[in-house]
Order: sequence, then C-alpha cells, then structure tokens
Amino acid sequence: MILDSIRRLFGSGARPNPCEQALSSLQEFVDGELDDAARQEVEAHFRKCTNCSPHLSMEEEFRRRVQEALQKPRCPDALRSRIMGLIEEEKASG
Amino acid sequence: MTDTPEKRGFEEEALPYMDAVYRFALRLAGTPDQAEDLVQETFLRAYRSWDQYTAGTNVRSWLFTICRNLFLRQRERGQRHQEIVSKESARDGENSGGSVINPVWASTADRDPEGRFFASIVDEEVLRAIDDLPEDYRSALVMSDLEGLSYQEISDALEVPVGTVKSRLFRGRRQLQAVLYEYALEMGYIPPRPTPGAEAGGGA
Repeated sequence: MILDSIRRLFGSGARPNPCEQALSSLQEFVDGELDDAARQEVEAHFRKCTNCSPHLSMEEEFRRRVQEALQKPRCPDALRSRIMGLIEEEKASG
Repeated sequence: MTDTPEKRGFEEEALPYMDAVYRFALRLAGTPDQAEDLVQETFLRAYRSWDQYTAGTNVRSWLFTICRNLFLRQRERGQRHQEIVSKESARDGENSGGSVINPVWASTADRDPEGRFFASIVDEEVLRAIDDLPEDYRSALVMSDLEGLSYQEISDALEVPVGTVKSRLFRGRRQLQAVLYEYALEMGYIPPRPTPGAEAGGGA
C-alpha cells in the first residue's frame, strides 16, 4: 500500500515532485551537506509527509547502528607508546 | 631529523588523531596486527613528511590519505596507486545511479518501516559487513560515519572528486543495508510477513 502511493506520487510529470526531491536528497540531508535553504525544505517535507518520514527514520537508525559499531575500538596503549618511542628516536637521530 | 618548532607541532596537531587513524586502519586492514603496523607506519611517514603538510588544512584527512595509500601499496604489491584509483573511480561516475526508493525499505515497509531491526544486530556482525565492502566504499563510509568528515574532506583524503565520494557513500550504504537486512531476516529480527490464510483468520 505504501509503495503504491509512492509510485502514484512519482507519476510521469517532468517536474520532480516533493517526495522524489526529498528522497533523492536523503543522503545529503543526513550527512549535513545541504545548504540552509535546501535543508529546511527537505526537513519540512519529512516532518509532514507520512510516506517519506519512515525513509528518514530508517536511514537515521542505520547510521546510528553503524556509528556505534565503528566507535568501539581505541588505539591500544602499547601501540601508542611504541609510536611515541619511534618518533622520539627520529628526533634524536636528527 | 632535527627537532624544530615545526616538528613539535606534529605532536600537538597529528598525534591526537591516533585513535581515529587506528579505527580507520582496522577497517582497512581487517586484523588488529595488520592495523597496528599500518598505524605505526602512517605516523612515522607523517612525522618524516610533516614539513610537507600545509598548516591550517585538515590534518585528519591528510593522515587518512597516508594510511590508505600505505594500505593500497601493501595490498597491490607494486601495482601503481593511480591505476587503482582511476580504475575504481571509472566505475563510480558522478551519478550514484540508484533508485530513490531504498530496496531494503521496500522489503520491510509493511513490517518495520523505520528500520528498528538494525538495532538488534550485534557490533561484530555490523563490522564484518563493513569489512566485506569494497575498499573504496568502505574507506568513504568510515570517514563519513565514524569520523564525520565532509564530502570535500573525504574527496581530499581519497583524492577523488566529490561526485565520486557521494556515489561511493550511496552505493556502500545501500550494499551494507542489504547485507544487514539479510542477516536480520536470518536471525528473525524482522517480523515475518503474515500469511494470507492467517490474515483471513481462516480455520474451521
């Protein structure tokens, strides 16, 4: 049902409709790469369009999960010490 | 090398990014041992060429560039880096080329339209899926989603146009979502579609 309504919205007109515009800008919007005017327009559309807002929610959920998983590892202390030691050796050899 | 004020600037500006470079190296190299070697070599190279770094530009991007170039050189064993970059860039193009409707969303729209199943997937599986991405997608995604680099900063680090960055991010994310969706289906994190008989409430 949701897919049918989105397909009807896209239609065959030459001018992209607001849903298509918002969804095609989804990546840039979540990445914070839109200028202020474009960002406000897309944000307003996602806020009011019940067909498009789940797309934004899914993208945000996905990004959150990826960020959480990626943030876990920290540079091991032993490696950190080794690198500092090597840099000190470089300085001393100069 | 003489300890100069410029070299001392390295400790203040570059060393704080050791965690970031380690996390990036881990996703490139795949194992902690290889990542450690890569990080060590990255910082040594960076220190030795610190006088080539332009003050005021993005240190993190510069370090990621060194790290990635070292990784690619090790991986390809003699194949020239530019050949790798131009081959990978040639297939990206300016256009991400995908439908605005995310296929994963289309598959789950009737059961989990907001993608809550992503939260059920353990870190190890998410990281495994990221590590399985092609390197050029993986590098762009890690720089964006882990380190929050802008498209321009990623473009500088990867030495490719901004359009290529967008395309790699788009394709990498779509591919990652598809893999995680399949995993979530296998694990039962996504509710099954109701069967037609069950919907009708049939039964004697």
